[in-house]
Amino acid sequence: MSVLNNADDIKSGSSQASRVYSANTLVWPTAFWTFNDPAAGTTISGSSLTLSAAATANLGDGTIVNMSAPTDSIDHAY
Amino acid sequence: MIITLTPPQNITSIRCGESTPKLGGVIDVSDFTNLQLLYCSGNDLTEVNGYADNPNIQFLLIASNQLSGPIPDITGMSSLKRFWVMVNQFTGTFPDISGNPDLEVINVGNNNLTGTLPDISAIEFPGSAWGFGFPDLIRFNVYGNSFTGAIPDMVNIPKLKYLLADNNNLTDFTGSFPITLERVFVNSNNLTQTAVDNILRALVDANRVTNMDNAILNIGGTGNSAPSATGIALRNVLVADGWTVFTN
Repeated sequence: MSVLNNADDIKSGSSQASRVYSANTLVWPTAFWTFNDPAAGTTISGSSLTLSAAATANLGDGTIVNMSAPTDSIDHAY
Repeated sequence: MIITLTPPQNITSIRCGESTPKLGGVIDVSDFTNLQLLYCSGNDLTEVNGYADNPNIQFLLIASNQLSGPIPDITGMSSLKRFWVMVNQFTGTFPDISGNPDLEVINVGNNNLTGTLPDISAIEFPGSAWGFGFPDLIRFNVYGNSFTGAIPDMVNIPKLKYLLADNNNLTDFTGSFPITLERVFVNSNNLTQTAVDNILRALVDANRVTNMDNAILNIGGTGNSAPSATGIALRNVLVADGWTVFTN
C-alpha cells in the first residue's frame, strides 16, 4: 500500500491529477458541493467566484473550468 | 456528483447561483480559509458545513434551502456582518451572537426556532469602543418562529431600521428604540396590553419625525392585546408624526 502524506503536484503519468480517491471516497480535494446526479439539462446559472489568484473548478461531469482572478463563473448545463 | 474548487485558499467569495431544477445536496467550505462571502440561497441544500469557525466570513447567505437541526455555534465568526438563514427548517434556540460584534443584518425568520430572544443590548464586547450592543446592526428579523418571552430592548442598537418579529409567541417589551427604526412588525404574537403600550411609548420617545414614507408599526394581528387608553393616545401621536400604525 502506498501512503501519500502532504503530497504535492500529484500526477498520473504526465497528467496532473484533479482528484484522488480512496476506493470510492474522494480524499482530495475536499468536495465543495455534493449532490445526486442531475437530470440531463439541469442548469446552474448566476454563479460567480471571486479569486485572489487562478483556480480550477471540476464540475463533476468531466468539465474542468480554469478560472482567472478577480472573478469568474461556473455557470453550467449538465 | 461532486463539484470541487481548487485551490480553495484562492477563493474569497462564492455565489452558487440558482440551479434548475434545484440540485439540493451538501455544501462544505471547511477548506476555504480565506472565504469572505458565501451566497448559496434557494437551492434546496440539506447541509452547509464548515463555515461556523471561519473568522474571515463576512457574508453568509444560505436562505431558502432545506437546512435543519440547530444553527451552528457562530461565535468564532468574528468578522460576520450578514447572517441570512431564513426560510429553512432550523430548530433549537436563537444563536449565540456574542462573538459577532460587526453584525449588520441577522435574519433567522421562518424557521422552527424556540426559546427566548437574547437581550442584545446587554451583550458586552470587552475592549470595543462601544462596550455593549451592536453599533452596526440595522436588521433584526426573527419572524415566523416560536420565540417566547420579551422583545429585546434596543437601547444599544443605534442604527436599527428593521425589527421584524411577527408571528411568534412573544409576550413582553420593556425598553427603548433608536430614532433610526422605521419598520416594526410585531403583529400576531401574545403581547400583553402593557407590552403594546410600552412599544408605542418607546416609538414616541424615539421621536422619528422625518423620512416617514416607510415608517410602519404593526402591533395588531391574532394574539396581541389592544392598547389601553394611554396607548391609544400614544398611537395617535405616532400617526400625527407620519407613522402608519396597525393595532387591535
